[in-house]
Amino acid sequence: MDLHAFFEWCDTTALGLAIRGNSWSFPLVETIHILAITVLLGSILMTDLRMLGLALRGIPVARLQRQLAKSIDISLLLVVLTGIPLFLSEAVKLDDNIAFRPKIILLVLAILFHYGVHNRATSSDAPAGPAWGKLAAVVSIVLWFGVGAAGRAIGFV
Amino acid sequence: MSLLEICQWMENLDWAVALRESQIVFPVIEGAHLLGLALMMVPVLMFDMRLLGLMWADEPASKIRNQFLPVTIVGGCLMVVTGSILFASEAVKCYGSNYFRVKVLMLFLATVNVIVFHSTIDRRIAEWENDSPPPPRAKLAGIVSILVWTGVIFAGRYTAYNLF
Repeated sequence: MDLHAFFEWCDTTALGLAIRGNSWSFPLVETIHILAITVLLGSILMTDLRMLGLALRGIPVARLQRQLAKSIDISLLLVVLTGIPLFLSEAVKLDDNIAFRPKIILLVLAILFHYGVHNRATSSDAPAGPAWGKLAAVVSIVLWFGVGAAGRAIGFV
Repeated sequence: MSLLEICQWMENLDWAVALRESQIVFPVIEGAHLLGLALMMVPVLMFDMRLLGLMWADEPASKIRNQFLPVTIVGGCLMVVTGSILFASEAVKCYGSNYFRVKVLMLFLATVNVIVFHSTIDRRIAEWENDSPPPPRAKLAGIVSILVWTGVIFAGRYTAYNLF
């Protein structure tokens, strides 16, 4: 099955049809999607600003991470759980949108980076994070901004 | 001049017209508006959770306030500046939108909550900041803040949908 056939199949799923079937469910799910993105992006930015020494200097980075980990995990889960029905409801349209695939690729990279690398930096015993924490913070900001910019572009290109 | 006439005048300013018709600048400013929101919302949420005693409970409330407030202010300024520009470019549409009116009401309530909090409970923060659980009035301010800001986001997103 080529990818386009898969996208066409997505378009016909019960969930996709249900979202498309009325005028109120897409806005509702998308608004929850954006609310979750706000919390996710904001929470990750807090740890990045801390490692860059730009804010929250009175709170050790590992302590900040422990407090924010739950809101990052829950909001990311919510972003994905709301993103899937949104995608299913207009899969073919998104396949034709040049911003969609870059967004998904950046999202996968950002998630892998977050749990594979970023979490290691933010669990450091050093109050401001490890020496390479600043680099991790910059990469994190670039990746998540990239996801956000590509996502924003979907509605405009 | 009526409010509607002011909105019409605003929307017809040269830069407002240019922004509305721009394929690139409008989405970028809207993206910056969302970035400002993220920068503002999470620190506000953190302090609200401290007021509720659900997070940071082992730190004095004033410390959490002082740590997060500068980020809130930066995010808030970014949101007000970008929001004003976006409003000017679509002033008549906003004027006619019930959702935008709800958003303005919610923003007003959020402002009242901040003013009441800072002029009453926050003044005596040293007396209660280590109490566990926090006093009911601090909890109330935290809950009101979470609810009205969630309302602002919902009403703000819905303004863009042209539902009715």
